[in-house]
Amino acid sequence: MEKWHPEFFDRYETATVFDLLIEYLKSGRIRVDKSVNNVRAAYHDPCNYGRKSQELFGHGYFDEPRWVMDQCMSDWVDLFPSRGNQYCCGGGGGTLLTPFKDERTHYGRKKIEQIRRTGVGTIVVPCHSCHGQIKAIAAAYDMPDLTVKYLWEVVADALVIDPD
Amino acid sequence: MIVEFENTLNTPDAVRAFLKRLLDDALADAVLTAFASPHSPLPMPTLMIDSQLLDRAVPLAPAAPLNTARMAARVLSKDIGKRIAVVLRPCEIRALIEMEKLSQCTLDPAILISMDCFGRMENDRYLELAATQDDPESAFYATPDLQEAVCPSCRACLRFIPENVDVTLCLAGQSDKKGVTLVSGSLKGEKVLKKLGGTSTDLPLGRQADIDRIMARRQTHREEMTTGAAARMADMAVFQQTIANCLNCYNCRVACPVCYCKECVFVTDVFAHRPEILMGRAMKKGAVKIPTDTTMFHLTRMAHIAHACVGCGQCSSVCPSSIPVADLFITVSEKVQEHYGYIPGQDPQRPWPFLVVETDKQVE
Amino acid sequence: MEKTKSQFLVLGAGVGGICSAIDLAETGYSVTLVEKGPRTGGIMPQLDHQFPDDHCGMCRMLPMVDREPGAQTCLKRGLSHPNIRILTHTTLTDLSGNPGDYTAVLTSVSRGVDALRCTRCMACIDVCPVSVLDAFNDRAGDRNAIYQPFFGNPEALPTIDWDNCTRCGECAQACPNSAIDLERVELTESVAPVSGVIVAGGNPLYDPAVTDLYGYGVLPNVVTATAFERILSGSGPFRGQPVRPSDGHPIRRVAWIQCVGSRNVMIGAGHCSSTCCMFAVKEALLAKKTLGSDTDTTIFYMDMRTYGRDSQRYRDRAEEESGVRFIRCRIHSVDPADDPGDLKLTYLDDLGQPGEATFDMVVLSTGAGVQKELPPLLADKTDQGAVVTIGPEAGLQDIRETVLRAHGAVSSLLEKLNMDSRAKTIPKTGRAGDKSVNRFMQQPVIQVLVLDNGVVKAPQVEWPAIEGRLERSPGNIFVNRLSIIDGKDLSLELETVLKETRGNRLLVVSNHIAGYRATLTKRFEEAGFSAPLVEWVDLNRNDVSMGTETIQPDAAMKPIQVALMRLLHKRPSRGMAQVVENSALVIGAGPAGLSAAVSLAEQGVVVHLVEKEISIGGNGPRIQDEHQRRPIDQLIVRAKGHPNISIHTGATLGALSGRPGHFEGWVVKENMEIPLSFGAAIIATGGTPAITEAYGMGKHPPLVSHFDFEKKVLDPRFAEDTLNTVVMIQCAGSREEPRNYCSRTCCVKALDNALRVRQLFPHARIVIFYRDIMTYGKSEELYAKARTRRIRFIPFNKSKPPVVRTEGDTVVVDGFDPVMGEAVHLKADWVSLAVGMVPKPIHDLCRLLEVPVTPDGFVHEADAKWRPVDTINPGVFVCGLAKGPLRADEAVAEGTAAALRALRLLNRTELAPQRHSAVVRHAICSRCYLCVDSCPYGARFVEPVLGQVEVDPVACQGCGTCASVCPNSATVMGENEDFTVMNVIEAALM
Repeated sequence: MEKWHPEFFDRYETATVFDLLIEYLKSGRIRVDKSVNNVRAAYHDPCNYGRKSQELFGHGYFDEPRWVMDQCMSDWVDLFPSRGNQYCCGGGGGTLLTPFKDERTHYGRKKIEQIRRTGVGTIVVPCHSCHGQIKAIAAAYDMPDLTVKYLWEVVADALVIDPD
Repeated sequence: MIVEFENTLNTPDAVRAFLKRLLDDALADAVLTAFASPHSPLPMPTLMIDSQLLDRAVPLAPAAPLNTARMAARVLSKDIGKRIAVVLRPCEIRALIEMEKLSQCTLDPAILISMDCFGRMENDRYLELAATQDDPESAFYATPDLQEAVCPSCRACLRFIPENVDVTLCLAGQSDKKGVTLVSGSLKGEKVLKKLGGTSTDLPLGRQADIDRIMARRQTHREEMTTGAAARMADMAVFQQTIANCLNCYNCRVACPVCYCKECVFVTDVFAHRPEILMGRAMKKGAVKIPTDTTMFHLTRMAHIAHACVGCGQCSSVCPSSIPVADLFITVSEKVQEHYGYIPGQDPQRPWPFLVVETDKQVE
Repeated sequence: MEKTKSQFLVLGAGVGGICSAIDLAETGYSVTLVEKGPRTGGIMPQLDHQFPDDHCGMCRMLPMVDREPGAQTCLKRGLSHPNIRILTHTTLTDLSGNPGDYTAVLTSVSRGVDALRCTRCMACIDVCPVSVLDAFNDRAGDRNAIYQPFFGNPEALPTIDWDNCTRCGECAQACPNSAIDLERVELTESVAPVSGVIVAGGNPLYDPAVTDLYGYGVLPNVVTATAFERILSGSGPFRGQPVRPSDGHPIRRVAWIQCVGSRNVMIGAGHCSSTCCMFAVKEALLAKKTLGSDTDTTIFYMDMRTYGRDSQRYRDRAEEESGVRFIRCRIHSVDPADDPGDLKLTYLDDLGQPGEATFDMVVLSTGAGVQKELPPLLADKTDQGAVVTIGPEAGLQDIRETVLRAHGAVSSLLEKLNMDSRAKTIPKTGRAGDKSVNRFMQQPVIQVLVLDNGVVKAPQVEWPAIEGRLERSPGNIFVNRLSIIDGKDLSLELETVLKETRGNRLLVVSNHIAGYRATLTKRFEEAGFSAPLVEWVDLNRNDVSMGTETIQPDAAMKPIQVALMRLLHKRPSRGMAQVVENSALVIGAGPAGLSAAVSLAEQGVVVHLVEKEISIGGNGPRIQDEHQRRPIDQLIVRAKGHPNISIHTGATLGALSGRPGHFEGWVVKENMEIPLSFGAAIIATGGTPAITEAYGMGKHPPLVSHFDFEKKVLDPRFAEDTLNTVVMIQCAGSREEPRNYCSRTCCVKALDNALRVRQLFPHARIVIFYRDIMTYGKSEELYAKARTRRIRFIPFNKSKPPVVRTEGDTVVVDGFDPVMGEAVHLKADWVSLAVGMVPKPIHDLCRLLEVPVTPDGFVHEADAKWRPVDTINPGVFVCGLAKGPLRADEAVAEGTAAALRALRLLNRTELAPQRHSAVVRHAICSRCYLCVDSCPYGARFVEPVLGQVEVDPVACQGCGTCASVCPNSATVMGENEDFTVMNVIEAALM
């Protein structure tokens, strides 16, 4: 955008979902109650927000989502490896839209293993591709009960809603 | 090459004739062999130039008052340009080969002659035999009972067929035949036999059977000897009892052909303990036998030469206290030689085992 | 040795620092060795075993000649040398002044423990509540805030880690001797004048915690290579009973991942760390030795860089005899396996098929980390020449490279500071050594000098008759007659005779010597014939002449025979020092030899440079790359012009006698024989490209050696031809028996050639068949560059090499590409074969110099790692290709190193016999000579006259092997004879 439509930024501000969530939480515009999310979960760094962002823009969004997680959950773990070395879920690059389902399932084998190793029942992802992929292949890898949540879902679940 | 020689003479005479031919035909410049001097029938190693005198040589006599290998080593300590034919028993040959490894002699000028050995008798027993027999050599080879009267080491000796010699005098399987069968064991030996002439032949028919028979008997004797000796060395206390009568006279060492030191460490200053040392020892234990280092001597000698012991038995023959030194050494050296896979006299090129350093080998 | 006023600073007490310090100290200088940590030794105390013999060996850096017995200590524990002052806990905080005259400020931090009071009871350590990861065990174990820097040295003082100490005071209370002071004190000391500084700070290893793909720090059984050796070590966290860190299970399966932190462009570490391949093989063998020979050891690699001379065979033996597995695959990540603690690696095999393997432990072969920058304090002084670094810029170096660089650093420092080291040593004995000791060890050759004194009228002597009889006497006798006539100056004639004589003893016969004796004695002395070697017969004595005017030959011969007998049968006095000649013989005038010669000459040593060919330079002038060749050309110019160097071309060493410090030899040139004497010799005979028939070389014109191909590529006409395909095949006839060693330079040359071809022919197909690309160190960048330039690399195993055949006139190369999984058939315009190098034939020379030769014909150095340019003969050194394949610039560096080592010997005026040397008691010696061969230092020899065994007291290291081999103690060790030791044993045991 910056490259091709710089004029856009005269009128509009851009922000990532992370920046937004962080701003809302920090400013108190929304409040969350950790105790609602009393499951054990793990966090997955998507390629685009992580490695790719790092390479293209010089900043990978590793710390931001983790801060958000900390606000919303008391029992969550990192996968191993994580951050810049996080394994890809295998569903990016448009594979979700192609008929190569078997291949896609095969690409996700390491991801599932990572999740299985932690023993968690819930995996939190901020990317719709990852969400779709992991959900789709979990059953094939004998983890049909794995819950896949978006980061903002987790925030929503923990939202404190004032009765008035 | 195998040659039958002088089949009209009896075997000992045939052997004498062979030795004479060596000198007469200038195949050798001198012969070293057992010779009965005018003074006594006990044969001594003698260096002979005059072939006439060889009539009185007794190369097959079942006697060896000392290990001729030592004498041969002296004569061959340097190559003076003379070819020397030496007639030695198989054990003496083995000792001589070991001596060459220690630069004590050179075997290039030697023509090594040995025989199938039926053993030697102790000196007094041989003198008895010589007193009652005109031809003690023939009598010995004809009488199996006499062959049992040899010294204990010979009765237990399994290596009585010569190896690494130039000419072997075949005696096994020959007792009723005339003449002597000569077998060459090297190019040098082959050349000698060629020049000698004589009819080409095969090994005597009965030889292998005779060898097997003797071997079987000897194996039994050997097992008895080593079992008995092992029991007498079962532990330090038993061992010290076995050598209790030792006088530290060092006869056994002097007689041994592979104990080659010019001056044994036990007669040097290293063991010439000063009075302070002797008193100190006596004070620590209450008393000390003098001479000291008796057990030490035997154990050291074993450590130094057990791998090279040829089993000639001279050590027992000369012990004034009748300690069966040879039995002990033969028993220990059997184990040591097995451990290193080392047979003295078998491989002239192979150095003494404790000099060989093996790198690149992982020790388990 | 006397201390001198000027001194040197060495910063860092690791391998490089200790080596330089010893070099300087042995050359006569004072050294202050500064170490910022609490102990000396660098990484060495952490590593128990080294290639090639899997022992330690660090103490081999200690001096062997003219050694001080009290200074012979384990170098991992400490260093004790009269010229070296060691300061631990110290750093250099300022350096000012000019080269040769610096003032240094050293700042020391207190260790907190008083050396005079501490009894090493370790009570303090027991009570310390702080526990931190122990860097000594590379975080494989813990230590306290007060700790012993090296567990293997029980004498070492404990030290306090101020950063982690909480000052709780428990240790001070527990100490029975009040030896602990919890106040951290800094002391500064000013040191001046400092002539020069050597920086030997070492190279930190890469910390794999930076990348978590391998699970370091997360998965407990993933460790660094250093930590693995610590785990196996008897002084390590498991005290020699190694088990898996996570759960204490036995270690049965171990994997090594190579190139961790190296050859990784993503993290900005594109270099190769040069040492990791070899140490991985060593560790695999160590694992099998310690944990059991059935331990599964697998090394995952990209290229096994076994480029040292003996390294290939070491690797082959590991694979073929010990069962170490090698899998060519770079591992992406380490995953936990199903059983807790187990680790799983996924890989691709040789045929490109995926595989999975489970291990108990994964070892990360970490190489060089981020290079430490020199602090500005030092950085801006390095170009003045008096501050020298032991090359961290070269990346991680193994022990051998470090030692060579240390020698080189000291040499260049001394050269730049123009210091004449010979003046530094003053003989302590006060009794000048005597050359005669040497000559007595030779077969006597008598030079008779007949001085026909024409000045006196009587008596007359019929010299021809006497000379005739002398010449017919048995033994080697040469006769020369000099006439003394009024006014005639004998000196020139005499000098010629003395110089050219073959004799090693002198018999002077004259009709009247008298007044000439004093001058002649002095002349003889200068020519090497000291008093014991000279006999005088003056025929003008009453008992000979009997008052007659003419002396009859018979009468004259009597005293002459007597004197002859004495000369022939005289033996030297015992215990005399060996005089050292301040000159050296360098054999071979190639890059290494020239470098050694010039280095020595600059230090005031007279150098005889002997070269077999007609011209000098060796392989230097054949170097195609001008940039690489220039330093050699400069060396040639310097050598030719140097006043201290005499060059003999078309010459070889004919005969040699003598002992280190004083050799005498003959240089044979055409039909001339030139006598020379020198204190040390340096072998630099070099090598040539190997000749091989591999792949049909020599049968078809397109098949050339990579040397020839280089020439072609650099020829301007090459660009004018058309070129479609160039195929290069590495390791042609090399790295397989019988020539089973890596020639180290071929891969770089192939890459250079390939890149040149690429530049000239952007569209040509360039394919390199290789087994392992040996681009160690910085040259790895060349490999990376070649890959980006579309040069195709196809690996092959030595059991399935590519096949070269012809189709008509065309040469075709068949091979198999495992990455593509398909066979390749390449019609090649050129096939360049990396043929490797072989040494020049030197068996005769080595026999003469009493130096062993490796099975491949290279000169065998004393120790591959710790004494790389020495030989077992203390007076002979070796450098360059003669010893093993290497680049020309590496050869030049080795030449400098060898020169420094020789200088350590040559800067002494004499060598005294050392304590703890062997002594022979000839009267009881049986002359069996078993002791001569058993000496590992070649220090025993049989002197030719009586066949007695003699000991060279300079070479003898007092190891005692001879005494244990001798059955009657005819040879004994000085100070430790049999009865001494026996009585000591009795006192101890009874």
